[in-house]
Amino acid sequence: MIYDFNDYNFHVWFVFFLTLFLIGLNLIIPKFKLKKLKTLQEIDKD
Amino acid sequence: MSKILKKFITFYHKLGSYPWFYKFSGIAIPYVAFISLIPLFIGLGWGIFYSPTDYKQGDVYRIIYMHVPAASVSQSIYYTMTIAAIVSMIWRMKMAGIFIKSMAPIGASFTFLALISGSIWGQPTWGTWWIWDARLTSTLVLFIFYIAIISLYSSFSEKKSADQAVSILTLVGAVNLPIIKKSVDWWNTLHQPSSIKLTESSTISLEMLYPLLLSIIGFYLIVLLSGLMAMRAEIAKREINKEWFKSL
Repeated sequence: MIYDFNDYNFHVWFVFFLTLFLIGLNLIIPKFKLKKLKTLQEIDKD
Repeated sequence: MSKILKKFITFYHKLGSYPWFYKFSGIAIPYVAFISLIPLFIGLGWGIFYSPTDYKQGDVYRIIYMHVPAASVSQSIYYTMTIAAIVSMIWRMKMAGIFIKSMAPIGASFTFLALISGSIWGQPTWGTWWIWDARLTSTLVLFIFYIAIISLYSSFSEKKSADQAVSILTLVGAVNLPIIKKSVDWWNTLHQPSSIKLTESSTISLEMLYPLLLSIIGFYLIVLLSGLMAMRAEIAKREINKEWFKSL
């Protein structure tokens, strides 16, 4: 079990947070793009 | 059996329709999101907090729970893109072009993760951040191909030409896939051979293997989720002025 940032545990935590960041990025970017396009569509309708 | 095959063929043909895929992905995304987060968080949580410490490497080996799934999906994404490139070249199916365009950034991000996590893991275990080893170099080539596909696509203003150009480039890059897979067998590399084998028993302890398998499943489902979302956004971008999209 690792709970601290001592020694090489930092390496594990860094990779863990990088993983979450990249997964998050892959999910947020298309969501944001779609939201932007829908807003444009709404403006166009008005 | 023939009924199942017929259903599959119908489903495959429907996938080629933008409106159908847009609606289908809209329904599927919440379910895929739910089922992908469960194995991902159980796998990573189990691996990082509860799996035993390695007797030689200590806790740093836990990078395996992110590194191996990332490396696995980065290659699998390229395999699926190669199939899409063949479909795009032969049948000129527009959805295949959308697939390649949407999956390339996802593949690039996971290849980047595999390279960075491998480098961070290599520093304490091999004593170096990087070596021009066959596995590492061929994975770097894969990353360069992903970047080249993204760049080539954005250099075209006409989508149809862009789809054809990236399909050709994707097929060229496919040559690298068996090299990555077999690099540890063909050359004497610092990177170890595969610990998980489908045909033989794995060389990794079961206490470490189970969370790793869960993490791999989680990563594959996250790729599916990201792919569906990216393709949906790309369809919306291409079809924003079409009647069916306006009527939504």
